[in-house]
Amino acid sequence: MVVRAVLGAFAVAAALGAVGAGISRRQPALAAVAAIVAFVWGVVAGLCLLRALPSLPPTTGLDRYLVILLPVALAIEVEAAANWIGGFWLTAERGCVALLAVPVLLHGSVWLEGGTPAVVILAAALFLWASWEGITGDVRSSGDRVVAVVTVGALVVAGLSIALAGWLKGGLVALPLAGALAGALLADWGGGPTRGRSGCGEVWGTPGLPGLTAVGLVALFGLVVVGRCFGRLGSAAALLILLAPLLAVLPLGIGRMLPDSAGQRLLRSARYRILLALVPLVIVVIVAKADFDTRLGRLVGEIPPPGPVVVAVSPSADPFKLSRTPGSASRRVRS
Amino acid sequence: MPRFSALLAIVLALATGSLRAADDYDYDLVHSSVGFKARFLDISWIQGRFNDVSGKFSLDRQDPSKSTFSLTIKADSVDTANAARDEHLRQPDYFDTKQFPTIEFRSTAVKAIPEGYEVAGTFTMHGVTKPVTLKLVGGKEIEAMGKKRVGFGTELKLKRSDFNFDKGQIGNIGDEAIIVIDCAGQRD
Repeated sequence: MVVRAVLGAFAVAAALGAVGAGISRRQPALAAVAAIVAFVWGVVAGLCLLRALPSLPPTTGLDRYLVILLPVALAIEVEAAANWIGGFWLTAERGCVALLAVPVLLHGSVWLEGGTPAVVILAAALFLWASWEGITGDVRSSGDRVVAVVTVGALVVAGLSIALAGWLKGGLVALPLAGALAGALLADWGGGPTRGRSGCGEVWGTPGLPGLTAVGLVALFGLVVVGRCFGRLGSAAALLILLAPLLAVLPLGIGRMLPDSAGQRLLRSARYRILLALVPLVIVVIVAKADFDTRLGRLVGEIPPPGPVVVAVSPSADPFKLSRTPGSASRRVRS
Repeated sequence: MPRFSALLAIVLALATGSLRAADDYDYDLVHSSVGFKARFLDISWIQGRFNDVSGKFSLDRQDPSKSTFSLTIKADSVDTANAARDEHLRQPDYFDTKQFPTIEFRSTAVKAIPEGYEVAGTFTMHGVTKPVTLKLVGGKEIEAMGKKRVGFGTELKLKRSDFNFDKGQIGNIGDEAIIVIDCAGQRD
């Protein structure tokens, strides 16, 4: 079911994205909107296949993530892509969403009622706003695809880590998101590079890239927050996952400041930046798997199925011999 | 003079509370338990308990309809004698204790029955409130260890799916859960 959901999300997003890119080949703004719409339908398809649609009205952190935070971020990126807003208003809208993201995700939980320090919420808001605004702006001007690729990887790692820590649904939801983002990005890149005006300035690269990168970053942030606060995703793992997209973009910024040299070319190379971003993600997965093996692994052991069990009384030394009916196979179960 | 004495006696009785129709009891955590069990693969039962429970009940023996019962269970205190499983149960796939920290029962109507009391009320778990009716068996007051004590026992059968638990987690662990409440109350 999980593989089907991921592939479904990928296929729907890629197909719709390709259609959108084909229709709006000469209109970058329209193509950018089409890429985001393709992502949305990919996510919906993936969640349907996963049978993990949020409940309405949203009562849990995951519901609020899927029903409030993601749609609001998507709406802002559609506005930006369609040139409806830009400059100050776009920055202000992103800032408001960043400020409200954590309180909305944690609404009604012990985290807010227990008095989570305002400085923590402000720091999280500042991080989201800075990465959303900064990275998206950089991608918009440079057309860099590495951050988007790393964000897809970070979503997968966040999902695996949350699931391995014991919150299966919370972790699995990340996988259709990653699948849909990958599908929409692939379709966007397949449409070919364009140069034009969209949102708050001149666009290099493919039209949907800035919007999809932005949505991916917000999706990653929200998932990590709910995984940390409602699941058992550790603080260190959460920070490392959020750090990955930054590690993909920071060398690029440093490289721009250096004179043209071998070092500068290395810092700007996509392969190096992907490798650099993969380091914390690989560490997170290894630690999550080790933690799973020592804690929850025992609860997910191979055990006999609930097939009929025959108690055979024989005159042998073993008077009560349990025999299983033919055709029964062992299966994995959770606690 | 006799009239004054009678009046004085009434005033004193009111002051000490001995004429109060309802007796208020605090939940006696030491001598009470709230347990639960659910089917595992439909072959056996998984059992557990909640270690942090509080409550109050007020018993009006002359007019039972004025009695009240309330129970608050801290979902975080779930204990199945397996630390890893307890951590798993606290997560959103099951109790989601950070979002829904308490499980609560509040009575709305009480009537006396031969075995004790039939208590209608609301049961709130996982953010969902449903009406339930409990048959509380017991209610006889005794005095022991310097306090007046009363005890009740009841069982409540419910379906996790009715309380918005993750349907993906219903299968290996059965949908139906039985909550077994044995509670003692005490008052001075």
